[in-house]
Amino acid sequence: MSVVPPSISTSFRPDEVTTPRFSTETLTELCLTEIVQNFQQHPHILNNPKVPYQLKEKIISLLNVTLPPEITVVHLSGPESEFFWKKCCKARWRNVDVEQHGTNYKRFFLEITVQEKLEQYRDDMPLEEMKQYLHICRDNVYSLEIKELLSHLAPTIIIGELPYLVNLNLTYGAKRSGINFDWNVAVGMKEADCVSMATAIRTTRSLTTLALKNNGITDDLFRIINRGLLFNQTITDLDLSHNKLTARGVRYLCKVLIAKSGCVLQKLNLAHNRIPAEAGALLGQALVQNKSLKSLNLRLNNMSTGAGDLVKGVLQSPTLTWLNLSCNEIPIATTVELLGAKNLTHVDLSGNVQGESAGQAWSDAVGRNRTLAVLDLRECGLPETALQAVAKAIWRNRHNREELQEKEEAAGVRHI
Amino acid sequence: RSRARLEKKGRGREPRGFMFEYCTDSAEKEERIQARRQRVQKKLQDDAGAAAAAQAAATGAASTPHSGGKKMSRSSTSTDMMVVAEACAHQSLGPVELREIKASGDGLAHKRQEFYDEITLVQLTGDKEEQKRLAADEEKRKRLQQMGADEKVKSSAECEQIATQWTEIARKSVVEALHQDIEKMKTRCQEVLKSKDHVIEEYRQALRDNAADFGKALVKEGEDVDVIIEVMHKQFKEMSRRYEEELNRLEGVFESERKKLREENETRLEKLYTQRRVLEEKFMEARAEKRAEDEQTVEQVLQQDADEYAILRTSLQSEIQILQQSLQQMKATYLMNMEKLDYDIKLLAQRDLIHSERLASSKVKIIRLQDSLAQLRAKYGKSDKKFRQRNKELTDEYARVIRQYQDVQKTFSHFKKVDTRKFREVWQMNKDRATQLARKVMTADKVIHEHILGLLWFPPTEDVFSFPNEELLFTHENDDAEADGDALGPLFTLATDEEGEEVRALLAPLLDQAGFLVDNKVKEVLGKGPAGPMEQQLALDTILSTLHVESQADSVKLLGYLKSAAQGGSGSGDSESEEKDVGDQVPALTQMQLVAALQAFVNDPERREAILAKQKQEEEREKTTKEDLSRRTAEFWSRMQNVVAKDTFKMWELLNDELGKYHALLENRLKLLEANQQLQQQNDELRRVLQEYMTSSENEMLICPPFHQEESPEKQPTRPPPARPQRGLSAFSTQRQASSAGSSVQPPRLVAPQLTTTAPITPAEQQAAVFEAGDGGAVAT
Repeated sequence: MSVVPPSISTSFRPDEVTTPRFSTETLTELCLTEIVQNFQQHPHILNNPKVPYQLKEKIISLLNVTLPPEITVVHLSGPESEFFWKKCCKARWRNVDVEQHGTNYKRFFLEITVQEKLEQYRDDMPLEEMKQYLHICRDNVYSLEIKELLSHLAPTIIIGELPYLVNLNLTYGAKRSGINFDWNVAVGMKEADCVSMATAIRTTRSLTTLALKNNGITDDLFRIINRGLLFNQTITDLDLSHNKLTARGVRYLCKVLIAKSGCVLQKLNLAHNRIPAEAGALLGQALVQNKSLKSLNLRLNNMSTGAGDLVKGVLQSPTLTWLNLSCNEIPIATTVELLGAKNLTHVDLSGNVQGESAGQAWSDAVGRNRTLAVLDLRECGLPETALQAVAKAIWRNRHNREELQEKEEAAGVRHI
Repeated sequence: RSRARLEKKGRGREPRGFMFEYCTDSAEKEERIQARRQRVQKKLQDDAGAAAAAQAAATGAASTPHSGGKKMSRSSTSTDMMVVAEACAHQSLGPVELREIKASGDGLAHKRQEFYDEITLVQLTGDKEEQKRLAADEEKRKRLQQMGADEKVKSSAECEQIATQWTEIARKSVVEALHQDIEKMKTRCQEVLKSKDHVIEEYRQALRDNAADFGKALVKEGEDVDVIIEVMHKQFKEMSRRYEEELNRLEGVFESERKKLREENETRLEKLYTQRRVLEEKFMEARAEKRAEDEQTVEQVLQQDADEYAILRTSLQSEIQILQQSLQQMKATYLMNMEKLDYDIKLLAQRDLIHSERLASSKVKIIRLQDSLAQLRAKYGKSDKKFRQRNKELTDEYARVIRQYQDVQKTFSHFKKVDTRKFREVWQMNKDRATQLARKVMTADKVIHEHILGLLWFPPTEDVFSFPNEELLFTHENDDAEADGDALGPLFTLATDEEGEEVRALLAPLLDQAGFLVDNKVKEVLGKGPAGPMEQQLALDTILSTLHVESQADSVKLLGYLKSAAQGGSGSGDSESEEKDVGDQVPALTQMQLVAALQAFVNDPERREAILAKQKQEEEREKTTKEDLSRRTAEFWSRMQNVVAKDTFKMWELLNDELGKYHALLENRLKLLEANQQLQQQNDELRRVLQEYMTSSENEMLICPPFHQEESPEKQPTRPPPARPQRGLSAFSTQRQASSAGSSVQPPRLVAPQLTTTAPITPAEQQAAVFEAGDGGAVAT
């Protein structure tokens, strides 16, 4: 019985495609298999310009995901290697959302692995290994979100080893310990951590977002960090929520806000601290002089009567657009003046007190405002009529803005 | 792809990092769901048949509870509206649809806000409770701290007391009392301990409470999360239902719109079809007509072509016959030509033979002639060498002669200078002497005029002694000498030394091609013999003199012009450096270039001025030629001679005569005076003798003594002084004045008639005579 060539057989009888076909591997395929098997020893083959692009793609798609990172990170870069990194991601995680990582699988993979490595790191582990790993990944890590750093790894190491780090979210301590809470593990920042952090902040040239949430930072600790912040010109987004700052800490922060060398902070989050009423005046003063801050979050503090002073500062601030004073025990009548601010678009005053008497003032004042797109006044004891008036005014403002935007866009389209 | 872009854009507008910091996942989850919902809505709005997709996305959202929902949008409506607006822009929807979409978007946004508020309310209440708890916690903390502080103060006071009491107790010697006291102290200590224990218990209680609160809080959190999830499930269902409704509604709107549009289009199409049918029928008819017409014309054309073909055929056949005939004729001619050519070939072969013979003989001859040529060449080389040698010798000789000539010229000029100096000295000396003499004469004249004749004397002008352009007498000659000396050497030599090589190269064309500048006479002289170096030099000098090249500077200038012309001719510029570079190999000048260069040289403004100035000087020199000079010299000398006029001289002669006469007269008078004096002396002696006689003593014896007259000799006046010549002269001058007034010159007549008498004269008489002589002039007049 003669052997019929498979191509002919398929073209002759397409209904028999499902039957197992006799086929031999081509030389190219053999070579590819060999290259893939020995890739660890000869990764430079991908840099060879004589290798056709299609073959490179094939090699990359055939590579094993368990290759050591020191080879893959260096030699597998560029758009064609994305297949490989996608494969790596899919092999490790079920859900891969690369949008938060620059729609880049390589970056996603490396950032998440670095995060995991840091979270798994303990003080008794060898530091050099960690450093080496960071060094390998240095060119591809831009954003880190360390939700539970169990060791006291110095931030200078993280920031120093990763020169392109833009976004750092760092929380010392264990997460989700629940009722099995243990002081020895969940500790927050220590003084040494703060000193290191200050040095790191002072020296960094790339970091723009720094979040130190839930680190138990007291005024004294913050004073140490603040020494770094005073010399920093890159951080625009600072998150200090869930800490233990009081009026003293706010005073230190105000020094940064009114620094003579120019403040670059645009967003400041001080939610869930212990900021008392007297800090309102300080912040108000700082806001008058500051020319950069756009967003300020003071949720869940104890501003109470200090809000009046703060509002005076907000009214004079040239940049502030976003303000959250929720749950601050503020007598709501003292903040009616906020409606006169020209820049503010977003105000949250929910969960404050003494709204019954201020209802009329708010419903009157809100009609005159044209800029606010969001105004939250729930749970302040405001009468229902006032809330309705506020909602109506806000909807009107939103519509106006939308129409304005539409017009602008139409103009833009026409212009193009 | 555009959808993805829109989404990204929408997200970019949202405030980044807007987060709900609640430590639990509830907020995040809710945010994520919000975000998903938003995306789903966009899909719904974008895609008409996206209900299934929305479902899938929703399930996807439920099934992937992973990170990534950091974004959240309270201003989602704005992005929705934006999407709608863009969709409108892209798909060009009608106003009805736009309005509907907008309305539904608005409704959904309201609903979403409601839901959002519902969910955030949970957070808000949580926050509020937390706030309360924090306040309570703070209070509790303060209370505990206060309590601790109080306890510390109290217990320390107590402890101090106890410590002091111990010393008191230690002093006690009674055992029972001591025991009692110790018991007492024990109870007190126990009390202190109890109070401390109480505080510790309080703290522990607080801790336990806190732990319980924490547990409760965790439970509450779990409950809250459950509530939120439940609410969100509910909301999600509600929203998807609403979206579906809205979608259906919008689809209905779209459907109706589409239906309307279709109907419209169909009617329009129908109309167009009918139009087309009519037109097609018309075209068919037109085509059939056209076809019939065309067939007819085709037939006609065919007929015509057949006729034309027949005519053409006959004519062509006749032409063929004619051509065949001519072919025959040509063949015959060719045959004849062939025979002729055969004969020619034979003839030529014979001639070829003869030619080859002649060629051989010529070759022999050529060899012979070449030999002789070689001999002649050798001879020529020898003689050439000889003549070259001779030429060199002659040139050297020439140079030597020229040098000698220059030396001679130099000595000549030297001697000329010396002679001139000598001449000038002699001249000066003579002139000085003459002037001196003339001045002496003039002084004498003045004295004669003023003193002797008493006339006014007018001195002649000083011009008498001056000789205008006296210096010219010498300088002129000097100039000549210098000029001669300057112009003596040849400006250019055609010597063969290396320095002159370049000059020769430049001047050779001048000699060759500027023959028209040579004088006819010189040409005659030159024309006789062949041009040797001497002749060439002569010709060159002539040419140069024609060009007014008279000094070394001029010659250098001329050379410069020639050089620049040569380089200009060879295409290069005229800068100095290039001149030097090319100087070694000056290319030959064409006649045109040469003439242009010479013209430029002649028209050179500097040179022209120089020549003009020279001409002027020469003209001046003309004025003072030697003739003029000699004339003026003669004049000078004659003037010197005639310093004293002829009349004056005559007068001098007359004066001399008269004065001579006067002199004689005076001498005569002198003699008379001397004689007179002798007589006086005799007289005196006689008187004395008489006196002695009169006065002698014998006289007294005399009766009558001689009469005595003593007074008379005493009364006699003293002898007058001799007449002063001035008086005479003045008389003469007055007389002369008078005579001159009468324009007749007469020598004065001096009258002394009585003086000639030799008779003795009395003193009175003498006195009178003298007076007469003094007033002689007056008497004469």
